[in-house]
Amino acid sequence: MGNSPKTSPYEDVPKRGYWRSGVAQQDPLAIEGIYRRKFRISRRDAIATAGSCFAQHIARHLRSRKFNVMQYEPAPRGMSAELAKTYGFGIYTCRYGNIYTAAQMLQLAREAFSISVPQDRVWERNGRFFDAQRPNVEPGGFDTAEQVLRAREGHLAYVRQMLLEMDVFVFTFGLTETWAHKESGTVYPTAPGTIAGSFDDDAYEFQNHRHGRVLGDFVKLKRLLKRERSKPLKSIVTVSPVPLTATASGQHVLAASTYSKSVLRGVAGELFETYRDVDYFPSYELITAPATRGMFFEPNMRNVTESGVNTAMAAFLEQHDPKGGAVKGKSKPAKTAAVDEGDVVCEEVLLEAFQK
Amino acid sequence: MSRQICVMGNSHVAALKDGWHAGIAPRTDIHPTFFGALSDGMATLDVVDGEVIPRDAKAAEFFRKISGTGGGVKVADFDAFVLAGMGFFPTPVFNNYRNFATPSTSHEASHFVSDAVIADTLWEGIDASMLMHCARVLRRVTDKPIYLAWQAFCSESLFEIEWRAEQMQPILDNGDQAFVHKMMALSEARLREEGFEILNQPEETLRDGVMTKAEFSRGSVLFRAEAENATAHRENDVFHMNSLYGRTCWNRWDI
Repeated sequence: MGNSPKTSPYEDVPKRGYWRSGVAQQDPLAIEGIYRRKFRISRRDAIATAGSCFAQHIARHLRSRKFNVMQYEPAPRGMSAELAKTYGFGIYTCRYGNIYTAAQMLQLAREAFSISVPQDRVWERNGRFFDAQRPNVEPGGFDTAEQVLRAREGHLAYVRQMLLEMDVFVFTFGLTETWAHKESGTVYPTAPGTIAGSFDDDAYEFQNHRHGRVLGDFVKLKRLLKRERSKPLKSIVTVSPVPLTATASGQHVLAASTYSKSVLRGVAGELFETYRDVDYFPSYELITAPATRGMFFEPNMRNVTESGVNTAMAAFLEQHDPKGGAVKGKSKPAKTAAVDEGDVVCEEVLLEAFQK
Repeated sequence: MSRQICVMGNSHVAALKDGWHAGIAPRTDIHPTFFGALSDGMATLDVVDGEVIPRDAKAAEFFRKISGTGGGVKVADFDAFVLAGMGFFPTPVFNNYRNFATPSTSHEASHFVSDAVIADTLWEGIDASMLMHCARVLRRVTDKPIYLAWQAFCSESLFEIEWRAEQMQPILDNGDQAFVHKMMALSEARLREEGFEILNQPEETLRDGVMTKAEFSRGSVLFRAEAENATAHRENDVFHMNSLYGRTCWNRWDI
């Protein structure tokens, strides 16, 4: 007796491949099989995190499970986690604040390896001076531009060290919209004038990066790291489920947000399909799936609830730390303050202050 | 008529108490009464039945006994209050100096941050300290002057302790004593804004600006009631000062 021919190519599709059994009939708090790791990460692996606001949760949860999330720019001794967060300590592996776009991450890596230098590095506001690439980490700024550059020089040395030493790079894509210096192409994490600096139509322009640009920037980053590093690197990319606070695209913010997330999800998918050393973790889907009926968003329908974060991270840790069980609470305090609060730092929210 | 001064604190009150009681009273315009509790006993200070006293039974017992009054503090009986010790010390400034340079320091360090990073770390510690708990409890029940006395800098004998020497030496080598004082002054400004007054360490007790001369710490004793035998602090206690220090404070402080 031979095998009978398939009646449909969907015949062998497992339960997780059907919407009804894979989503509609699933508990949204534990959607079975939504994430299957592409590679293993161990507690010995040096993990670096960067990206948009949501990436802060990933770092926090990995740290609570004793993964080796590196910290090159720790907070001063005696500083509380809350104050540390105000000054950008302990949020990511280095004190770079949120990196919303692939272009900004690439630019940072190029700067760290002395390949290029961004334009308009220092912004001024009311006689105080701020690092244009991370204006929020020193909320009161410095006395002089020279002090800003001295601080940046030290920061870049740590970023370089991080890029060379990390084994696993967790990057969360946040936005496609950005503001750039027209002449040089330098991109900024916030629009000039939002936190510091001032907006000049002649000098800056709005950019909404398309699939090719986002993908290209990340691939360039990969190539740069491959060239500079002497050991392999595994990357885990995610897409932030947090919608845009505001758009400068002229579109309705919902349409703009959907476009932005779609592009980023498309890029993440292509990276996952193309590269063996790039995994995609579907935090975006876990939070925004119709099955969740929006329950993972705070009343402002933008911020992700702690329950949503825990659900997403449970799916991640179920693959990378299955023996760890459910996500544990806060770990015992570290000697240096690590940001263990659920709340995240998000400069993009400052845009709301400009709403008339 | 002497002004009645209520002195409260933890073990650091011992130097002030002994400095006052050793021999003839150093001045006649004021008369202090000493209250306090050991360790973190003052953290439970509260207003209980109209008196200021720790809620913790053991601490309250010590508090009553040490003053010789047998009770808590009746604020109406005093013209001013002095709070001493209880975490009022620039610990984060010393602890972070080696690793953090700022625009106000003259050294190279692993990290360069704004002055505000260190100043806010210091303030955060003070703001949450037992001293500020006590100061705010008192402020709830009185508008009379409340003086906050900085804990004395560590004795210069700290150089006998390797890790402390390693912490202090770079500050001296780089002449960054002014940075330590600048950070303290920023916290003092916040305290004054809150309505408190500050008592600084007398100039003549300082060694190199950020330490205390050994003669002011040698032979410091534990905070005990007068009836009990004076017991010396452990050897190499660089934090606690002696009666000479206390007496110098009484002579110098403008209360």
